[in-house]
Amino acid sequence: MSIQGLPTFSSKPKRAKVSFVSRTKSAACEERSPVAAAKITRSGCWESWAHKTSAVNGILVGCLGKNDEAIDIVDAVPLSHSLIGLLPTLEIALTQIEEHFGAQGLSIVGYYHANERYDNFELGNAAKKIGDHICRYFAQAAVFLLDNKKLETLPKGKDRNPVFQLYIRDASKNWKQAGSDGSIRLSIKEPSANLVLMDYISSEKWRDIVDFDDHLDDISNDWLNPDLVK
Amino acid sequence: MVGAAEEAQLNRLENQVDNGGGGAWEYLCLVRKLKVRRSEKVLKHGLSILNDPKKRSKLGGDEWTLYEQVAIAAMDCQCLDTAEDCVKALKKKFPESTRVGRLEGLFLEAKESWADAETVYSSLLEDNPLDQVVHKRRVAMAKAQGNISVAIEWLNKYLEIFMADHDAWRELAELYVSLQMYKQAAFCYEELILCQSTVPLYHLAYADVLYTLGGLENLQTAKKYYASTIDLTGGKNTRALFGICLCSVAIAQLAKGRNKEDKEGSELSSLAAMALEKHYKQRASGKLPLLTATLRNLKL
Repeated sequence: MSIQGLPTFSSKPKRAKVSFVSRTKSAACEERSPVAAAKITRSGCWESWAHKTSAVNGILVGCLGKNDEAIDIVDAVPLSHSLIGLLPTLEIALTQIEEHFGAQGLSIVGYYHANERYDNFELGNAAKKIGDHICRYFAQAAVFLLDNKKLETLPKGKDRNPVFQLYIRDASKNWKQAGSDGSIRLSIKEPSANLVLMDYISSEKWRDIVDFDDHLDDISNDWLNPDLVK
Repeated sequence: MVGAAEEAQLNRLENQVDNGGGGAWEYLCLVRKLKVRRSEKVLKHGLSILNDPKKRSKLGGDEWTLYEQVAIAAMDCQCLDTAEDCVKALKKKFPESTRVGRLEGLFLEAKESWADAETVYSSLLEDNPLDQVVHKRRVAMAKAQGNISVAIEWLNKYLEIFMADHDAWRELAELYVSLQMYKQAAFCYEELILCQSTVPLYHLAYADVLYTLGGLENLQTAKKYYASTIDLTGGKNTRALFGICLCSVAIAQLAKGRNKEDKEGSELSSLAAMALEKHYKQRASGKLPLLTATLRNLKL
């Protein structure tokens, strides 16, 4: 189901659109090698289904895999659904995420972003700047941009491909979409990931997701979402 | 902007209606009053009233307000057939109405017939050049098409005429932030603080923008506005407390070796850190060790 609405200009006018965040649960691999294939599993929590009318973003957590050739993405933390271009929430979140996951031997390895508008497939400047910020934590950080078109067709087909685009920073520090030259590809490690994703949509589990913004509004909301992804 | 208590009341009512406990009309009225965007629920419950002749006749004149509300919700959920039916019903009842005219424009927007919508809005503005809603729809259309700079231009023109529209200033600030034009966003928040100096959210947003801008002077000012947010919210605003901590760290880094240490400043950040720990202990004790470690890493 895609929601492509219109901005209502009351107090928070925004263009409604499909925007999602999927949350990786188990190990995902992103291999950087000539043969590379990036595999990502998701258990699929739809953070921004709860915030259909705004851009959303989040942080990816993981570690270096075998031989330092792969990066395992192990978890994801939903971050914001408002005023994404501002630093304070990002910095508080990064500090806490680093502290929490550091104890488990994990670190911040990437960032995901979903644009506000349905038909916007570009990685915007705000997302790039945040990506640059994340690169200070992890030089090889990747940015994932949600692909709304793929997401929309998901319930119709049996597509097992991931519903987002992967962006990598090149030598001149520009963000480029990976995969066109075949050096890095995304694929899903767990074949049923998309099915799990659709199940989460239909069972409306996305309503319960808490992002860092929600946590700062009310600290009893847990940004780790322990009960949501099991 | 909706306060926490109002949102809680709305959620309670929503749960009640969802679970068959009645109160759909009260819920719809509250959504309208608070101007929140809960289009799926409004569509579902609004249609349940409109499709029931008995319930509809009970509403009397309010029936048409409901048609309007359901039409907009339907557009938001891309149920354009339903929206079209509602708009047609309203047009039949109020053939010469500007309000229905706006709704027609909105419907064209929902269909992405931008040129047709623009025609409708232009003709409405010919009859009434000071129609605020139509002016704002034009901004919204530019935004929907991804022309953020055009949206900003229209919104600035709008604010030259309607400079007391706080929502418009907030929207403009958010548009500027989305383009990383932080100085301009700061200006908008300054306008808001001038008009409504006791609204803590404006102080907080202003502080956030100044912190993002960076530089010693901006950080020092940001700290003052985080402090005023704490003052206005009785010390309960978590973001402001964190903001003080972040500012102190950033200022200390910038002022390293330059000035003598700011005793008052470090007292403030210690107090903020203590307040945070107290709040977490009370409401999120599971996260307290993490917070303490974070504050320690920030050297507070």
